[in-house]
Amino acid sequence: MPTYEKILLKNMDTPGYTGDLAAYERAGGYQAIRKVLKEHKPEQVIEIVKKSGLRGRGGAGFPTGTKWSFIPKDPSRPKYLCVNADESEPGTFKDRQLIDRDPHQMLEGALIAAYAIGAKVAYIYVRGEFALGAQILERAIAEARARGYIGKHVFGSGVDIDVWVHRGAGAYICGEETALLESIEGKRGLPRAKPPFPAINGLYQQPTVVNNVETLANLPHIIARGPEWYAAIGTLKSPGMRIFSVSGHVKRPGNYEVPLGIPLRELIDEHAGGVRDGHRIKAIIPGGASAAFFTPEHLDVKLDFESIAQAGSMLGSGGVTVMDETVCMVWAAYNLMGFFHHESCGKCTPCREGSSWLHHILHRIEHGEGRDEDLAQMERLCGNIAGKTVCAFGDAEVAPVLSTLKHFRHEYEAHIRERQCPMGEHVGATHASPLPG
Amino acid sequence: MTTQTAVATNKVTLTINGQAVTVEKGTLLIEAAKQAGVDVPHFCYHPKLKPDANCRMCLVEIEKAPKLQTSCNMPVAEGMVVHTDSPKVAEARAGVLEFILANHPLDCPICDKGGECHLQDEAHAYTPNYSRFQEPKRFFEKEYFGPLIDKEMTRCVQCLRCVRYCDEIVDSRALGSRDRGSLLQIGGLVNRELDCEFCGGCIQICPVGALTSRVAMYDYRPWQLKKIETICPHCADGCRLKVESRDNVALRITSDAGRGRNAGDLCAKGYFGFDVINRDDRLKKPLVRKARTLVETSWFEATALVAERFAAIKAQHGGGAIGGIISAHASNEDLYLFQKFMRLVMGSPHVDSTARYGHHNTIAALRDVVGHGRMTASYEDIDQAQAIVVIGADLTETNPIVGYRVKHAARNRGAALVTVGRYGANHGSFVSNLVNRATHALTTAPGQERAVVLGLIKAVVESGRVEPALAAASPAYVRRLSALAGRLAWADLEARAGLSRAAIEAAAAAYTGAERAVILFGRDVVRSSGAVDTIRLIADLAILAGKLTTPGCGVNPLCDEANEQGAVELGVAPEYLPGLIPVSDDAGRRRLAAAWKDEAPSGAGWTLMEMLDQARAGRLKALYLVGEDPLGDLPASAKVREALGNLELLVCQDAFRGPSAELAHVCLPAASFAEKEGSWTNHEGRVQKGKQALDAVGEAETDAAIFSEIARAMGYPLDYADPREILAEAVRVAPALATKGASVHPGTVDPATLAGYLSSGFERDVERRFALGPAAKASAEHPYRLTLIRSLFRSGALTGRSAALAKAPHQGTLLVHPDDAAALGVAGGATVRLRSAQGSAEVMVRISPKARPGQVLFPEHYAEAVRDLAPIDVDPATKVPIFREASVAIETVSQPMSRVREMS
Ligand SMILES: Cc1cc2nc3c(=O)[nH]c(=O)nc-3n(C[C@H](O)[C@H](O)[C@H](O)COP(=O)(O)O)c2cc1C
Ligand code: SF4
Ligand code: SF4
Ligand code: SF4
Ligand code: FES
Repeated sequence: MPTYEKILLKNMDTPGYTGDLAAYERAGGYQAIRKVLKEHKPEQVIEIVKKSGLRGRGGAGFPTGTKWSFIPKDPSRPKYLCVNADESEPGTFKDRQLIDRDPHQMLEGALIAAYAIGAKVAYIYVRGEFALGAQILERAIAEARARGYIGKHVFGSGVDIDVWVHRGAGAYICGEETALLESIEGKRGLPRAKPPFPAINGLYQQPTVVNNVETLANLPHIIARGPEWYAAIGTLKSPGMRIFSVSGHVKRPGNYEVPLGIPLRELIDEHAGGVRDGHRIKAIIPGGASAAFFTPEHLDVKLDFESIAQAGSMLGSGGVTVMDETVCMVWAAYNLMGFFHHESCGKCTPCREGSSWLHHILHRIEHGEGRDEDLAQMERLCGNIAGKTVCAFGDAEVAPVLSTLKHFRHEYEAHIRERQCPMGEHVGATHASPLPG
Repeated sequence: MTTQTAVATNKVTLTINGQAVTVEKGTLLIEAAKQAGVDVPHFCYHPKLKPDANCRMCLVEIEKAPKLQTSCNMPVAEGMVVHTDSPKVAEARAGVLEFILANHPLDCPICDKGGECHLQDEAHAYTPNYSRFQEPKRFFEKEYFGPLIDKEMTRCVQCLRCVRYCDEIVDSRALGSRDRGSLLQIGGLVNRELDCEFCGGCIQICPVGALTSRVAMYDYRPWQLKKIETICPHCADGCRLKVESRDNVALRITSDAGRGRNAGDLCAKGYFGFDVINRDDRLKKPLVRKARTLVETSWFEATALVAERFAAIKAQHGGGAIGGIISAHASNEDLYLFQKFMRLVMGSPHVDSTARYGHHNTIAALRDVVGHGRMTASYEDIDQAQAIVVIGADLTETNPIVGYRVKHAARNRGAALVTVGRYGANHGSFVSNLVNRATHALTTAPGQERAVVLGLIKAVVESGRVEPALAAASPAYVRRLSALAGRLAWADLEARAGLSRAAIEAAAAAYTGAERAVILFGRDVVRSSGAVDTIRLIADLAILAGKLTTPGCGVNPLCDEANEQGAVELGVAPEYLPGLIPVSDDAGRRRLAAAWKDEAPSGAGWTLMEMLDQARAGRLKALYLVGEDPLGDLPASAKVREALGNLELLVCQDAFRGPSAELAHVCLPAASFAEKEGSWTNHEGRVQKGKQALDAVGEAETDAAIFSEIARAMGYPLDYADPREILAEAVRVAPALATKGASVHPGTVDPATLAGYLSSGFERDVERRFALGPAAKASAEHPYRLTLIRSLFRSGALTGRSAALAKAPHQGTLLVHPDDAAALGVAGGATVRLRSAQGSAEVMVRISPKARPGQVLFPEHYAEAVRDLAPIDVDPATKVPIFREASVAIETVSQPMSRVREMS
């Protein structure tokens, strides 16, 4: 098995590492921010991050340095950093580990980002269910505050940076960056129509950067070891390490930190131990529930932003779900659609009505009440959702449907023909009961 | 040159459907299309609201953009090439409509919106005539949304216009969306009875039939309604509204977005209060007193009787034994004709209106400063102001539409908002409150508004913010006022106002620092003692700061009643002839006599309060009440009953039989505002015309027609072909009233008058107004100060009869500060007894920090016994009766049931 030098998971994988401030500092923590404060102007930090090629780990893969450079320099407007720790994408559990096991790494990254964009306040928006994570963060912030690392004159510099934890209340959509902002403002978490973008009118209508936990966790290392070092890892356009959360029918589910660009097969077979014995892979979701399904034919696709997109899916949140032949693909799509129907915020028409409609059709097909025209109907409905919604949730919800229709159409046809699920009492099978809404 | 390039860069040229369009920079694409004559179908977009882009109906194709874009939130850009009807757009639009219709019940046949529904129209235009949706339709249990609004969530298209209106325009935030996805519905965050401002705006802005009015539910189809525009009679904001009726029954009120001084917004009274017109207990026939009871009679008999009795009294005692009082709700035509009738037909100088309850103080204070009592800054100036100072006015309750504008300026344009008054903030209430939005809340004890104004003046003077040009042009004025302000000690001002010097100085700096700054003042100043001095000080504040005549600035008096402005300007006052000409002005009298071809009686007439005194004294023998009911309006301490009971003849002309009618000899049935053509002058001074929407009920007649009828019977015909002829004459004798068109603000300051004020006029009472006067002593026996406030849901006898308005919750309760409630040991819902030197009254308590400690608030027109707690005081100069404050003791009578359970 190829091994790689761990970067983000390194501390926590060191035996005895407790994740408290002393442990983090013993491991060399909080040196990067000191260096930044001493040696670099904010613009230089942005340049360094640009040069590193770091791209957002939250889903869209937007170049981080470029995102920061959109923040207006106007000193009269307060700026905000929001850390997206809402991690709710099914199959994704890397941010949770980064928070629980090494909170100071992410905090240091947040301080660097806040300094770079001129934010005096950073909010960490933590998924509501991460009660432990929120506690750990609160404790870490208190430790850092007590040492003068957070608050007024951080590290004795002239810079003030405060960090607050804001807990979500259980809605997936609050991970979408503008819904997240609304939620922090104390409003209902509904995505905002863009433009304006958060960089111009974000939190409280002020310039704001939203970054994912993993994105920020990279920053201390980029500063400490230089952008050139970082850019040399991974591929040219997708540099750096990436934590993949592998789940499903593999022998060793878990988080694996690997360079971007390794083949999917290597991740599943070598790192995650391969599919469980006596079974074979049937489908893979390579980037969280919002990503299109892959089939075994795609195992040689490289895990970087470009290659995956070219193969028709996306790197997304880095959640890789492996399904073997015991899984009914209609059921899988139905199950995911249930999630999307339940989590659609309801703000915009195509997603609100479309998720419900698709869920109803899939419910019928899975329970033996499919009609011949349903498949074309679903494709048509997906076309009326994708690209026409307020936020990217609309594109996400159609991905499982369209990709299973593309790769596993015969399973749908069998359901309709046989008026039942041909796989019988398969995993997760439910009985027909009316859907809400 | 430079301006030309500036203009050029402010314009953007784009192509829409092949047509080049040039629009202002920043214009939204959907508006640019409209300007090019292209309608982009939409649901969630509304020009009044910030774009939310949620319905996705307005998707258009922009060349070079990777996907379709919503035109409702997309600003135009130079060179944009837009297609609003390409195949891609048509497909997307059909897709959105298919989604919206999927779960829509299509119960158009029983939907009150059917026929004027946006969804019907768009579906008709853009969808095929079949549906591909074969799943079970989503369904919501039927719920009423409080007492006045019907909520049919199966029809909702989730456009959130209602939620956004309630937030952005009304600042009530009573509505929100609840639940997610296809189960998203409109409601409060928690499921509770709606307790908002009930402006009806959510109903009006809903594009479909999801929110409709319960007042006339299922009673009509929209196309059956006759729709006539007129002016709301309930306050001086002067809203344009449409009375919509079928078979001469008013079924609803609407207003067109953007129209009128209200820009299409209304308040609860305007939207829901119309049901009074249809009430069964309207006066439908004349009544005369026979053997102690009022019995119906014919107009012929009633007019003959009234004419004969008036003539007899006039013959025996002279015209001076007859008085007339008219309500300031009346139209300009009715008002003008009434004073002419009283002066010429009756030969009496005793003519007054209910503007005596307040607006006369404003006139007395400002007539020789600005030349009139109108707002000197327009509503648009309020919209654009960078600082707004609101003194003694709770706009949400008194003048809701001006309130919308102030809140809009403060919330959406970042204007500084200074509130000076007796109300505290009550964040969390679903009835808006300016204090909640104030950047500088100068909350003070009742009656201390003046001390705060003095503090503001002192701060302006001492910070060197006196307008330099003024100091150069009017040195005497500036020196004198600066000296007087200098004489005041901050310690005294702070003690009196209960505010820190720093807070007052900060507010003054916000005011002087704004280029466009407007002061508004309302009833807590106008209808309280010492009003004239306070109002003059407010004018002085603006003058010193250079913010009276500067464009975008001004001093704006607020009126409670719809036509107080018209009443005074048209001469319905013993001291003024039409056109605000003093009766003592001989030249003015001569001009009027030439126009009238007769002389108005000379000498000072009696005001409203004096007429009552003289009636009690036996010198006033006959009183003609038109739409006014002093027995209903004044407290027992005014001894109205004794006055009216002493008359030889009391004629009550009204739409309803009010309390005074019980003492009347004759009652004449009058048409309501909707039943006549006429004009009303709002507090800006705008003369706004309304059309007759309904035939008068029964045998009711318009006031003007009744005056003409009696005049003819008395042998002094005052005949006009129609109300327009009356207004034409009024404008002829008082040219200042002529409307100069919609774009000219009618309240500009008269420069000659202001010059006179600055040279010497200011000296009048200047020492008195700059003195703090004796401090009010707290009474141990009556430790709380009660203010009678005005309620949004009931502002007088007319709205008091509205069954719809009565349904709004939490009305008619005593507001008590939480600390006081704790000290008194009362819970919300408890019954307490208020005791004053005048009497006692039992009321229910509502706990709210809007009432400050030591003060309690109770709305007028809810309980006569509370009104009667107040002593009455009459301003010696303006004769305005002051009766809205009392010192009271509070005793617990009973706790609410829940509290009783808790304690046992
Ligand atoms: C429906 C939806 C859910 C999302 N949930 C998350 C999330 O849980 N965590 C996250 O980091 N980003 C999430 N995103 C992406 C964010 O909107 C945003 O792009 C990201 O936080 C930016 O950070 P990055 O640039 O560091 O990746 C979500 C996006 C969508 C459309
Ligand atoms: S796409 Fe879905 S989740 Fe996103 S705003 Fe629209 S309804 Fe809400
Ligand atoms: S109730 Fe009406 S205005 Fe409100 S969201 Fe529904 S359709 Fe829109
Ligand atoms: S009462 Fe005043 S604010 Fe309300 S609708 Fe009538 S005129 Fe407008
Ligand atoms: S009108 Fe543009 S999205 Fe609704």
